[in-house]
Amino acid sequence: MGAPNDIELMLHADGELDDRHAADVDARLEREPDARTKADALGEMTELVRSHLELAADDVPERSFDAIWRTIDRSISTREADTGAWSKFTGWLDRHRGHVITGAVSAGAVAALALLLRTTDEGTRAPTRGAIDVQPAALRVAPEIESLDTPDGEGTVLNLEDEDGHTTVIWVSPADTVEGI
Amino acid sequence: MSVCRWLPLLMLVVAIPAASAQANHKQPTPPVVVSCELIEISASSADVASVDPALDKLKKKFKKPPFSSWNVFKVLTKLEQKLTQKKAEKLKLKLGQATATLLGIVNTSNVRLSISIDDATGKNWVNTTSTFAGGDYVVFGHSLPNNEGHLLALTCK
Repeated sequence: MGAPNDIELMLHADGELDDRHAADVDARLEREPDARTKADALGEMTELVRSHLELAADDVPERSFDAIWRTIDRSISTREADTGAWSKFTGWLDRHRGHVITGAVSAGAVAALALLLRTTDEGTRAPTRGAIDVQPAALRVAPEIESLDTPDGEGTVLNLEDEDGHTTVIWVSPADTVEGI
Repeated sequence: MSVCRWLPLLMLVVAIPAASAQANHKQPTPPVVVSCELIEISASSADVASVDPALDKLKKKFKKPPFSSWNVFKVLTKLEQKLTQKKAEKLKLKLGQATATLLGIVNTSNVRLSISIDDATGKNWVNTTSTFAGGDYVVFGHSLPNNEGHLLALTCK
């Protein structure tokens, strides 16, 4: 047989020939220095390409693989968990977290404002229960008798004023003795 | 635009009326209450003048007419009574009874009330509505047989 052709050389360099065919090619390469030179060159090239690919694979960072695996895991678990209403709700919350937070903060601000306004309103409301203001005697106004009914006599109203304040006297006398007061 | 983008607005639409309702919600107004003191006094004449120590605040007034015709003043009943607005309170006296109704507080320092007083026989002898300052006295009086007097001194604070 003559020198192996290029196809045979390439198959041989890639290790894709069966044992018998490979031994036959080896034998012929012993006899054909040109073919052996070509086979050596092919071998070197194959080794070069393999080394390059191995280096390129080593350059991919480990975390890239981790991220890929996480994505895969998440997609699998999401598909498994998507069956319940609660998970749908939490999923919805996850997807619209920004809107929910904005709305909640706005609503909270409005509620706080309303609470503040209500507190202020209550704080300024005049007290309606409890004691009245007892002013110093000098500042007190004279009493006012709006109505006076004395069924069995005559009513006389007197105002005694001194440093203790006003004392209103409503004196009821039998009708025939009014002049005596 | 997605419905979700309206979510904050939706929450505000719910929150504002709710908060507004809270803000406008008025607590029920507590009833107006004042504390009053009613002193029932008997007035008479004696050789030795005496005024009950509980009547110190009125002692000076007793020297003026129409009280000056007596010189002995004794406390028959002393009642501390809280009056609630528009609620008639019956006050039992030694000689009869009184019914007092707080009508309101005027200018935070004056009391407006009506009072009706019956004698020991149940006969009404005075009905009046008056407004007077807290700390001041209103004294109701009438003569009794045997030259005695029956007084009711009312003050509120």
